[in-house]
Formats: sequence, structure tokens, C-alpha cells
Amino acid sequence: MMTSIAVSVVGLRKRYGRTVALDGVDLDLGPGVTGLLGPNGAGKTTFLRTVATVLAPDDGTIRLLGEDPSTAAGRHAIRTRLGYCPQEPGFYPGFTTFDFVDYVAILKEMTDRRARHDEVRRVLGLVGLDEVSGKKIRSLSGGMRRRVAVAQSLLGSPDLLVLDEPTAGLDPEQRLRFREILSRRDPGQAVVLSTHQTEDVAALCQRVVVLHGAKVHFDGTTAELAGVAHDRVWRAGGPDPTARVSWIDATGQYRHVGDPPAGADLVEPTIEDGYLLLVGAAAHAPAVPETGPEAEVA
Amino acid sequence: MSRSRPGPGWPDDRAVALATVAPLGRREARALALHPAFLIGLIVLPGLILLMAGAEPDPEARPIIDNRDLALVPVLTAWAVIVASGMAVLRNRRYSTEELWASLPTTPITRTSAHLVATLVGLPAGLAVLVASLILAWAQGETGSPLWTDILVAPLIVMGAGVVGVAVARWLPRAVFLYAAILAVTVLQTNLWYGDDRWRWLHFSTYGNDPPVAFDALYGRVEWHLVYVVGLIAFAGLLALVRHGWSTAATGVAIAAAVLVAPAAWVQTRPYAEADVARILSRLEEPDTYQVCQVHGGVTYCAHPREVAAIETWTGPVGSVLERVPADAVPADLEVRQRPTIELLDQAIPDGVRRPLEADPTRVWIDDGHVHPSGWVDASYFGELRLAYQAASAVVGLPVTWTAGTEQCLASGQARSVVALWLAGSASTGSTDSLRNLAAESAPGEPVHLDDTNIDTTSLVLEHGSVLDPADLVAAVALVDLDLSAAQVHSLLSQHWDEVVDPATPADRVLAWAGADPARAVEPLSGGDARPCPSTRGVEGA
Repeated sequence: MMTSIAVSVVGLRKRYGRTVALDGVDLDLGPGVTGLLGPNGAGKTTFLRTVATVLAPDDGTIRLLGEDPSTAAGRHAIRTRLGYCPQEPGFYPGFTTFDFVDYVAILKEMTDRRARHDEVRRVLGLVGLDEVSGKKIRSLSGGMRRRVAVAQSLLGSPDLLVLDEPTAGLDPEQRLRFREILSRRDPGQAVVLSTHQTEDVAALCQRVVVLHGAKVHFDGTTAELAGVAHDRVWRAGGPDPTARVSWIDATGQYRHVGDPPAGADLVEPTIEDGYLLLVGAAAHAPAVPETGPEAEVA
Repeated sequence: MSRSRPGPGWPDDRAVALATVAPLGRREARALALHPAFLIGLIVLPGLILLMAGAEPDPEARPIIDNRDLALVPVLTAWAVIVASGMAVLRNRRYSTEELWASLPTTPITRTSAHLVATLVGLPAGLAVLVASLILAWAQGETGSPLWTDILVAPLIVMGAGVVGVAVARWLPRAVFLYAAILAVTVLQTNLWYGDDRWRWLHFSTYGNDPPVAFDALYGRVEWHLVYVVGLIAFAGLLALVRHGWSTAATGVAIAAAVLVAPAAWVQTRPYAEADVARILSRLEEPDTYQVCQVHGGVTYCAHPREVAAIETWTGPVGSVLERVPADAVPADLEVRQRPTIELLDQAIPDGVRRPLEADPTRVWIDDGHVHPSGWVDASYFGELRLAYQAASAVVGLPVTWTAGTEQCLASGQARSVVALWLAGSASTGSTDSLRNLAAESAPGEPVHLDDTNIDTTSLVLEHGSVLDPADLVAAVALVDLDLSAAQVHSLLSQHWDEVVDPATPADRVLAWAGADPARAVEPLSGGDARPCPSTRGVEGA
């Protein structure tokens, strides 16, 4: 049964040796799309792997879809209602697209052959891969493979969908298609979306969480994230040393983010501006590797 | 491409989802059947063997179906299946799907179970190789019937190899260990307890130590070996499952493996009870009490129940001899009755059987005037010539088999000796070749033993009643070279039969009747160890 809180973590901690990946993260995520932003090494992937029951936390409590993942029964109950698209999904290149997604469907315990095949065709249609369902995965482009990864995560219309950079490598049309897919989701479904594409967050997410330095730095709506930069974005004809970040925009003028000088030409901020202000220059200095150390999952 | 792997996850769940095992097992079976290593093992390796066998037929090859050879034909397939099944298990590591798999409800032990179920595809694959081998054997003129209890181990070997591949890949998840496993299994199978027949039952195939087939039939243990091998496979499956910790499934498989292996191993290797020893001895001494008999051309042929198919290898040579002699010359009670070769050093033979036979070999090999093939008869190694010579000896009045405690006899220069060899050498293409070879290899003046082993105390094998004079062999070859039809030989011998069986009739008379060059006859052997052969037809020997 769907609960209103799909993901509930309190004091979540995870370390890789001496490196802290998550440091006391507290979050409650409900239905809707939650965007997860953060610089490389902020702990996004570690957080998503934990939510996907792939990683066990070192400390803290976690409940997913109302179940406790620390018990075998709880994990099983969660995994049957979970869809996960890893950052680096592996594929069996010798399998056809259909066979690979069908294989995942079997691992999702869809045992009725006819119903499973119908479901596989449905998700392949959703991501626009029905035309290449008979093609070997080794012959697909990188973008198509990414869509295969998204397709398998949609199997069974999961109550909790965990997507780690699903639009990486997709062309603009495919990214729009992806947005369309998420827009058609069941309203009760909870989606956790990690991405570096702030446009995707702006277009899709009702809520956004910014992770930085293994901690939650922001938790609010996209408007609130943009609001962080309210009165702190201005245009000018040249560089401004007081700005924290600057670039030349489409108008050919400098767009500055930071503390504006008096009389500056203030403009409407975006969530990207808010994000930049939150993580600042430190965004370019990763605290931990984006992915964990080499280890085995049987 | 290097990919990162997630850190430590939750402990492996140990529940096997049976509802998932079936569809996943089917999917994995399909993947296994299409794996290049599997296809190579199924088609290319046996195909090479078949091509080699078909391209250069060995004229000396045994033209009979050798059940234990057949059982081992799929061994190369089994090697490939170890690799194929292991690589299927390692697929998720190779292509880095572990992270995704870890987020799915199907547990690793369920996936392992499915991989084990998928190895069932080895059964039809092994059967296919077996059937192809059988068809080839029959196409090449091999005779005899397959003994299913022996050869059905072949598909089990293929399936068992798949299970071994799964277990190895689960414990040692690197491809190189699969190749090491092939080596290890081969070394174990060929060396473990090698040289001690008592333990050959504990191999996948009992072939390794050249077991005495007839004794297997007497022991009645062969069927249990199939049960034992199934249990071994279950045990290998257990090794794969316990990689995920002890589970309910592992307990079930452990119980099944124990229930199959323990009694089957015990039955096969247990010491013999006195009643068993007495039963085996009595069957050896009185084969008529349990052998199965058939009548062909008025002659009774009897064989061990599991080797009845051997009879068809006897009827040809014996029938050829009998059709060339007068009908009333054939002893009315002539029987062709199997007696097994007994290797007294074979440790599989119970002491209670070996000792009495060692002390008195005549308990088994009795000079009763009947023909006694020791087992399968084939064209090579003088097999057909020996059998035909026994039948011919019975007809012309020479002792058929040797009796311990007496000397083999010599009928050098006698018409009956040359006729017996002529009949034997005309019995089949194989016997003709054997006769020529024997004559060519014999030293003039030295008696020839048709048997290829000397009479000794280590084996009880068929020994013929008579030894041969090389000159008689040369004369017989001259007669065979006339290439007379069976009817012509029959007519000729019918005219002179009384003289043929008379020990006083010299060999050159036969050459003269047939129109062969009498100059090829030489003086009879004299002296030596052999005694003159008596006549078993009531005519005193010379």
C-alpha cells in the first residue's frame, strides 16, 4: 500500500574508509518528482544507492515505502515496488533490447509470461524503443542504451522511481520525451531524480534537494531555490569582480551572480542561479568520489 | 570500460523464489544453449570427432558398440559446458549489472538456483551427442545394442559439468578458474583411486579402470551408479547454493544429495555378503542357470542377460562354419555359451570368488565341447577367427577349449587341423585377414597359440584346446585363397567327411581334393611340448 512518505531517512551516514559520503542526512520524500542536485562528489549517488536498497547505511534510520530495508522481508517488499536506473547501468550486449528488459522483468518477479511481455512492450513504447526491440543491445547508440535503462526502471509502474542522471547522453528530443514520460506518471508515484541538468529540474520537479559536502544544503520547491538568488543576479556590459559567478549570456551581456553593486540591473533569477549561490565555487572541488570504491555485490 | 561498483550492500537474502526460478531458469537455459562455448562443445568438438572417425576408418577398429566409449564421447562437450555455464554466472560481473540486480527483488540465491535449473539443457544436449555417436557407430557397421544403464551417464556428465561450472563461478568468480576446473575434474576423474577397481564406482564414469563388464552384470550395481552420479550433481549444486549462506533450499538439496549419494556409494562399494559371493560363483560355474539363450540356425547361443546383444556378433562366424560342413557333422547338442574373462588380479573381484577360481580354473573354463566366447567378438584382434576356430574344432573333433591341468594338444599335419583352420579363416572377412596375419607372423617349426595371452595365473581367459602348426596355417591360407563358395566347400567336405575327421588323414589330402598346390604342404611338426590331440568324435588320435 502506498504511504504518503515514500522515503524517510533520519541521520543517514555513510563512509568509504575515511571519506564521508553522507553525513547525517534527514529527508522525507513524498509523491511527486524530487530533484537531487549537487556537485560531483556531493553524495547524490550514494544517497540514491541507499534509497535503491543497493547500499546499506552505516548509521541512521531509513524507511522506504513504509518498509524497513534492514530486514529481508522489508527489502523484498521495497524492491518489488521500486524502479531504479543506476548512473552506469550495465547491459548484456548479446541480448536483444526486448530480451534484456524482459530479463529484468523476470528479476522483478513478473512471472506471468504474457503479462510480462505486454509490460515490456509498454515500457519500450514509452521510451520510443519499440522499433528496435529486436536489435541486439551492442548495436544500440549510447542514447538508446540510456533509454533502455530508463525503460527497465519503469517496469511495473513502481511506487518509487529512483533515477540517477537518466538524461545524461540524451539528445534534446529524447530529453523532452523523458520529461513527457515522467509527466504521465501516476500522481501517487514518488520519483527521486538526480541530475546536473537544472532545466530538467525546473521542468519536472515539484521539490528540489541540494546535497553538498555530504549534507543537505537546501530542501524546498524550485521557486524557493530560484528565490535564493532573488536580487542577486544582474546584467552588465563587462566583468564585475564582485560577482561570484559570471558568464556572457545570449544577449551578449555579462550575467553576474553574487552580491550586486548598487544600481545594478537586476534580473529574474533561475534555479541554476540559486544553485550556484548555494554551492558556490566549492562546486568544483569534489569532497568524495561520485561513485563508491570497488566492492562486490553478489 | 572500467565501471565503479557500489560499496557493501545488505546481506544476501537466502529465500529462493520458486516462482521466479522457473522463468529465469528457462531464460538462462536459452542463453546457455546459445553460448558460443556451449555450441562449440555441442557441435564443433563432437563434429570433429565424428569427422575424424568418418574420414579415416580404422580397419582394425572393433566393429561393435562400446557402451563405455559412447558414455565418454560427450566429455569434450562437458568441458565446454563448464565454461559456458560459468560464464553465464559471471555475466553480471562482466557487464556490470550487479548494481541494478541488487535493487531487484530476485535474490542472488534465486539467480543461482535458476542457473542450476538451466543446466538441465545439458541433458538433451548430451543425449543429442550420444544419439549422433550411436548413429555414426551403426553407419560404420558397428553391431550390438547400447546398454542404457552404461551410456545414460553421458547426458548426466554434460549436465553435471554445467552444475560444476555454476559452483566454480560462484566461489571463484574469474573465468580462469573455469578452465582450471576442467583440468581439475579431468585429473580427479583419471587419477582418483586409479588402479583400484573397487573405487571406480566413485568416478563420474566407471570407465577409467577398464572394469570387467561381465562382473558388473553379476554384481547388479550398474543401475546404482546412475543414482550415484545424480547425487554427485546434487552435491555440486549444493556447493553453489551454500555460497549464499546456509538456506532452506541448501538444506533440501543437501538431504537429496545425501539420500542419493550415500546409499548408491554404499551399494556399489560395500563388501560382499557370503550369499552374494556364493551367487556370483554359482553363476560363473553354472552360467546356464541365469543366462539368456536364443536359437539361431539350430544352434543355441547363451549370454549374460545384460549382454544378449553380443549374440549377434557370434552368429555370423559360427553360422559360416556350420554352413560349410555336412549337417549331420554338427554335434546335436552344440551350444555357444558365454563365459567371462576373469582377471584374477582385479581387486573388484571378491576374494571369495577369486580364491576358488585361482585354485581350480576348471570351475569356470570347462572342456565340455561347447563353444565359449568370452564376451563381445570383433573382427580385430583375431576375435572372429578364434570363435570360428572353436566352432570348427567342435565339428572336426578337436578339443574346443583348454582344461587346466592338461596340456594343449597338437594335430599337426592332420586334415582336420587344416580343415578347421580353413573353415575358421573363411568365416568372415575379419577372420580371413586374421588367418593370413597369423600365418605370416608365425615362425616355421614353432607351435602357434591362437590365444594372445599365455596361460598364466593372473587371468582366466579362453584358451583353445589345440595349438597350431605354422605349416597347417599356410595350408589353410592356400585353401582360403581358392576362394570357393560356401556351397562348394560344403560339397567338397561332404564327399570326404569321414576322412576329414580321421586323425590319420594327412593335411595334403585336403589340398589335393580342393585342387590347391600340394607343394605348399610341409612335413608335420614333431616333438615339442604339445601332446597329440585326441578326437572328440570317438576316433583315436595319431
